[in-house]
Amino acid sequence: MREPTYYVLLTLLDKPLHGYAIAKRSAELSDGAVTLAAGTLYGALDRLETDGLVKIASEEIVNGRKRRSYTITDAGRRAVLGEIARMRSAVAAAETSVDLSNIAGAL
Amino acid sequence: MSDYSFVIRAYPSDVRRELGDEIIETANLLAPQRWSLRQSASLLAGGLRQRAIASTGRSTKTTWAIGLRSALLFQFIAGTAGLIAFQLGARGDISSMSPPISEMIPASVAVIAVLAFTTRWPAAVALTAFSCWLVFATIDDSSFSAWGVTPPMVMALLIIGAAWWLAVFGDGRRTASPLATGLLLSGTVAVAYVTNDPDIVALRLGVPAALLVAGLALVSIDPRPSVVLGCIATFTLLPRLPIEIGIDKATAAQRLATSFIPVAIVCALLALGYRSTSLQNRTE
Repeated sequence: MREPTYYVLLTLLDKPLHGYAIAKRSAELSDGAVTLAAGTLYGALDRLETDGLVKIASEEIVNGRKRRSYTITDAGRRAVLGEIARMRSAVAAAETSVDLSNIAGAL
Repeated sequence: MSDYSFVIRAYPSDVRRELGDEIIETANLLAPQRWSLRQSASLLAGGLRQRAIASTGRSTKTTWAIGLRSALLFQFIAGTAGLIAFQLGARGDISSMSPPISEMIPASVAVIAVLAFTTRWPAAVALTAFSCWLVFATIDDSSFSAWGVTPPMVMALLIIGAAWWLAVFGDGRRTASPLATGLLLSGTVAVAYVTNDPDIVALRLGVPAALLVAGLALVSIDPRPSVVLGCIATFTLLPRLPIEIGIDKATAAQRLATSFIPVAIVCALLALGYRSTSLQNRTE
């Protein structure tokens, strides 16, 4: 799973959000490491919607413009939780097999 | 606030109608202080990706299968045409098919810029203008002859015909048939192989450039020709390269770079349109 995709799904775990809120929350969750531009964000949402991992929760008109909110589906929830488990496992493997403190000290 | 209403035109019209306002609003909120190059580039790339997806409805596997089949068809027709031309003494080599890269890049950039924002009618208009230039440039050439002016005219007719055929009968969402696409490309190149005269400058520059432009126009409507062009570049370049290096390394290097243009187009389209696994879910 690519990083923008992961963060989009992660932001939607709690509640439905619209596009700007997803981008903003992604930046917060990643400490600014992932700053989604609009094209990337809506490209990711389009792919995730096609794959059945997110769906449109609601549509409202704000300042005369349509705004959609997206929510995560069960399949999306499984996908992101699976990714979290995979990363957790990868970190655990690194911690048990390599002395990270020595390497970090050397750097 | 910045206005991204121009760059949003990179998206297909139905996506713009459905999501255009929301995407612009989000881009403005993400970069509220000033116009953002990053947001613009992102919207441009996102729009082109949507166009690439919209213009095909087939899986990666099917796309490659059709592309390779069309490339083989091209090889057969062009090879036969080249053999006939050689036998008739019309030409003794195929090296003049490669254009100078300095002539290719501006033309390619201009055409891509036009085609990135539109699909059918402007493409047809641009190709018609280009074809007319090809004909006039040939007529204007100092080594003008009846034999010399015929090929570009035939090519111009082929290119104009292909472009307008696609403009009239294509809807920008339905792909042209693989056979028609293969024949259009092959026919154009076959004429070039048979008639290309290395002594005529306009032809030497114009034939491959016209071929590329025709390919790009088709790519804007149907990405499969990009695969065909990539295969063509590979098939035609590799066997010639050792010979050309032996003759003139600078020329060989230039032609190598030129041949990478269609390959780069293939890679870009694959990255834009086919990397997504979701595409496979939409298909067949």
